[in-house]
Amino acid sequence: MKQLKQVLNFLKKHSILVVALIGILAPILITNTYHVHIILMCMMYGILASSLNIAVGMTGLSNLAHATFFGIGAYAAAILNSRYGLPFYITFFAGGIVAMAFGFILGAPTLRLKGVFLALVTTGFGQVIRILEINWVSLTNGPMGISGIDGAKIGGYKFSTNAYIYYGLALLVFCMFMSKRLMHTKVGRALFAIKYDETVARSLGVNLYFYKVGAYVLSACIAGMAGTIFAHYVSFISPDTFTVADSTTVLCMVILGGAGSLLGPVLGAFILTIAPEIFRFAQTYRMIFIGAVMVIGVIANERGWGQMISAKFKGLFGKKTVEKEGGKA
Amino acid sequence: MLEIKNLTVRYGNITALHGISMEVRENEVVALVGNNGAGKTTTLRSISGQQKPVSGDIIFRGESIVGKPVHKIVQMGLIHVPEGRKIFTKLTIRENLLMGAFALKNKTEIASNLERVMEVFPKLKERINQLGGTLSGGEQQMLAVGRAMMASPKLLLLDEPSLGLAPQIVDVIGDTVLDIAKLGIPILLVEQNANLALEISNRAYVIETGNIMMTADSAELLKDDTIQKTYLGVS
Repeated sequence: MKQLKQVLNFLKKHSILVVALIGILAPILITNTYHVHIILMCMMYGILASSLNIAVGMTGLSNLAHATFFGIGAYAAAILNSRYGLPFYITFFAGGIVAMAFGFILGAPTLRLKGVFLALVTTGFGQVIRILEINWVSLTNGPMGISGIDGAKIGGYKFSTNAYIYYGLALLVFCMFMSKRLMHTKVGRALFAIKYDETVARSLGVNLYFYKVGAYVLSACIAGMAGTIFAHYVSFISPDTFTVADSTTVLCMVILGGAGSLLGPVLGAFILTIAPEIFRFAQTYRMIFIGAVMVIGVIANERGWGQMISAKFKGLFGKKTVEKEGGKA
Repeated sequence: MLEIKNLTVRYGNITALHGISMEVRENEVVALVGNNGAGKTTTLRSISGQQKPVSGDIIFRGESIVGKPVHKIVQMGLIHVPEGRKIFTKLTIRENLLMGAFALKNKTEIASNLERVMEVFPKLKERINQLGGTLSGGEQQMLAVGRAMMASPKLLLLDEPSLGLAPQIVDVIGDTVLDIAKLGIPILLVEQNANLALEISNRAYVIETGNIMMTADSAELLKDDTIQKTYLGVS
């Protein structure tokens, strides 16, 4: 019991280090091309979940358009690269900025909404962007998608798959580091305050609008940057790559891992990227397993996985202890 | 300090405040007493900028604050403690208190405010790293008041601090309000518990269906016949 708690505390304290180690070792130990591809997808989804966590987990804004921002970044990179021949190190930042701009366009007028309504609006936004991608043929090449995106190159060095993984890992670690810094500062406290009680946050002097839109734009920006890595890696993108279903998956990852925690969403992303691949042999039944994992995840979400597991262990093996409560009324 | 002139507030077709006027001076505890739905909370919400009045003016330290966004009003030092405590149950007490100092930029000021809150509420100091939700109702109310004091308030608006608390605790809350007043922070106190409010305030306004019916020194109001019958339950 004690050891379990120590392990959990260690994970909590050094979560960034743990993710970095996993990310560095995985492509060295695993060489199968298909498996390496999955590791890369883990990194992509890890970034998406971790950045979505800033909006959903920390600020409490529902967002069902996160894959759309990922797609916007990817499209920006694809268009800039295939049409104007801009290299990766420019498209990377350009993709982030374009996604940021779209994040602002979506966020600025709609962030007065809450909960289900915000979820609906963002779903609609995802569809609108998808329709735009399909129909604005002169810009996006429509349903045929954009092919022939150059592989990423920095100086004379051409990226291998492992290089993409490490680049993705760097962005993931950066995103986690930023979230961690945020959580322990005034800004992070303001975001959590907005999540728990908007009225009170406002009466304490938090400019709600500024912080909400800020969190949204930041989260969109990182997703867009991840999109550019993806575009250069696969070299072909089409509107089918970034659907509302993908946005839902990313949201599931955040919820599964525990919204608002640092390591949780990233682990959630790793689990939900790898699990469907492992259970591919049981094609028909694997969604049932994932559904079960989701249900447990949602139940655990209130307290987070770590606490739920340790509480269950306590219940099974340990002596029952009454939780400490405050003094009398 | 704070002056309200002919304040009228409407919710849709319903007029909640019919042009009320009142005033809070330096070093003063002013109570606003009245029944349910008289417009007490609406008055506070208008002062702190959460409700836009239809007409009238609110002047705080010589400056009109009508129409200003809430966070600007908070920065001016006008702090509202909302009804029903509303602390962050999932943040620690320290985080709750630091959240109160959100509008402040000066770190030494925040530290000295924290020190001051610890002095006024030693119970919070003992539990500084516990989650806000583990506190009892009375302690939560202390935390809510402490949180407001973190913002270096120039004027404190307290909305129903005694709501839902055991009678012994209500007295403790009353003492705390007096302690804060001793620090030189003027307080506008809204209460249904007229007994408590009149005991700890210097002056009081009686509000009824959106109109100020009476205003006088609290000691006088305590003796007033009509007040005793309607609000203090003496027959």
